[in-house]
Amino acid sequence: MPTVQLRPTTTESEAAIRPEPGSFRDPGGRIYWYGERVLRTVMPSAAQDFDYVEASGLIPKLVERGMLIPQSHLSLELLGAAAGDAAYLLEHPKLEFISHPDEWPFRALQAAALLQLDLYLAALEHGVTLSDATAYNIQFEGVRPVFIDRLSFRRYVDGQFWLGHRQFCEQFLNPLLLRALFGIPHNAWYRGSPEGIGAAELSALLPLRKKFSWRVLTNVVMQGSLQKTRSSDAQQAVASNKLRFPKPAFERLLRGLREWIAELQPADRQPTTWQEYAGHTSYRNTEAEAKRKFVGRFVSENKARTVWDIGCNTGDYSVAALHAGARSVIGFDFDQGSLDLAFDRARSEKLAFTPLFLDVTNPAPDQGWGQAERRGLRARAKADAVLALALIHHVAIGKNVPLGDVVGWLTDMAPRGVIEFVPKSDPMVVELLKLREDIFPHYNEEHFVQCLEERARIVQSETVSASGRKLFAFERAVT
Amino acid sequence: MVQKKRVIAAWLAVNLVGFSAAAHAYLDPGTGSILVQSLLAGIAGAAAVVSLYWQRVKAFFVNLRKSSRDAHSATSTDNDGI
Repeated sequence: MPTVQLRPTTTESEAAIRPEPGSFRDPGGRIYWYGERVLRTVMPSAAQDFDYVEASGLIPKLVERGMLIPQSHLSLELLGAAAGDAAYLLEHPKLEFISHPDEWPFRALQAAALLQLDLYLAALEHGVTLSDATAYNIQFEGVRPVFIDRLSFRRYVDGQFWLGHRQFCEQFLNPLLLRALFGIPHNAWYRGSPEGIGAAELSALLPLRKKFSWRVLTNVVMQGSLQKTRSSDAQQAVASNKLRFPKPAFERLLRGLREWIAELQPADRQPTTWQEYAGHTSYRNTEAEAKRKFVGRFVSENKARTVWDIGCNTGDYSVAALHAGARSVIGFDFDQGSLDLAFDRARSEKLAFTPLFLDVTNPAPDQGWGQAERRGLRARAKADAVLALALIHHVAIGKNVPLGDVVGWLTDMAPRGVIEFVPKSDPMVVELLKLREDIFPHYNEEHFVQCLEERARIVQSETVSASGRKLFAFERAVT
Repeated sequence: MVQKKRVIAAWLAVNLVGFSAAAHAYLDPGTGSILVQSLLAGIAGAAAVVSLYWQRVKAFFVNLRKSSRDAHSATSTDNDGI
């Protein structure tokens, strides 16, 4: 196996090695951070399978097709004492951003599910299977899903069961069915239940007529009800490995799921508030054009490479940022319809744009084991610039968050950015206040500027609408 | 209901005897999933058996027709030979 020799371990570099807190479930190996580099150990218990999969020729094919993150082999010396009795050491390229399935819109979860099934089908052709089917093993480059766990690939033994079937259903199929059958987005449930949605839980919601489809019956209803089976016969049969699952049946199950999932559509496909918003009358084309120009100029002047677009809607200003030279944009919005459209747009135009679900007033917290397994949004924020167009009034007036706190949250997100101030005279704010008392005496441009100047330097501003909407470009010291 | 489940589970357990590797199972595959897969395997197996017998039944009739045709053509040849 070719290895790359690196400089010998020193006390200083050993200090820079830290295990990734989210990588502990599979004892076959672990992810380590070496400064900003991503290393993976392969433990002796997984070494035989690792060699088998390397020899199968599967890995380069998957990497070439963009389905799997590339890997290179390193000398174990690099990890020093931290390597323990590891058999191999790999390095993977560092990803720009790690997202979680509770942040993915429907289309993203669907694309990830199809990738997971395609990986199984491709692997089986090479006599390889996967040890699991967790959505956390998939990340996005733009809207293209990529699998990141090399160690999931294991030798396939004829007759072996699909050990990841239950996990696949809980983490991909059931959350997709929630939206496809009921029109309920998976995000809130997934946030509260990071292992996904159980078959028994989904089954309990299904009306009788929906249970008669063969696919729903087997993957959801029966799996859910048999999961609770305490029959000693069944348990004994499972425990003694006397049951087998022939390869053709395995492949048929994978293909059936693939065909089914590829066809799923959200049950609530009528235009949502924000899709209509994109074509709203108060939102004239000249105004949108002025905003696009401002954003483009800001991105190119600051050479911003990674941009976060908070309240991205269908991605108009994310696209403007990309056209102005940004290498990638992560867009956030809470409207599912807009996110679905943004995802389709990024896919058809091949954009380095990843639209994700976010409720600004409830961003992802640190979750999972030790509250360190899945990191919250703030810990993952490493953008060069942040965009917040037509956002601030929804948070300050729609959600009662003090204006200074909204500005502080945004300026904390990145060292520079563009924030749009929407005055009370604007029709959208008038709409927000139509049914409620105006308890916001300090919501005005003067106070906004004061809040922004307390935290950053205003480098540019421009009024973009007759109603007085104004864009502010800010810059603060890098902490 | 419980009785029914028990019968299904027992049927699956008895019906599908063979070998399976539970290697690398750091993940709990879940009883529900294993039993569903066993059912799918059982159906695939049953379909294979049915298909095999169907081939035999088909082959029987094809052969029957063929032999009757052969017999017929043999008779014709005999006739031609007159």
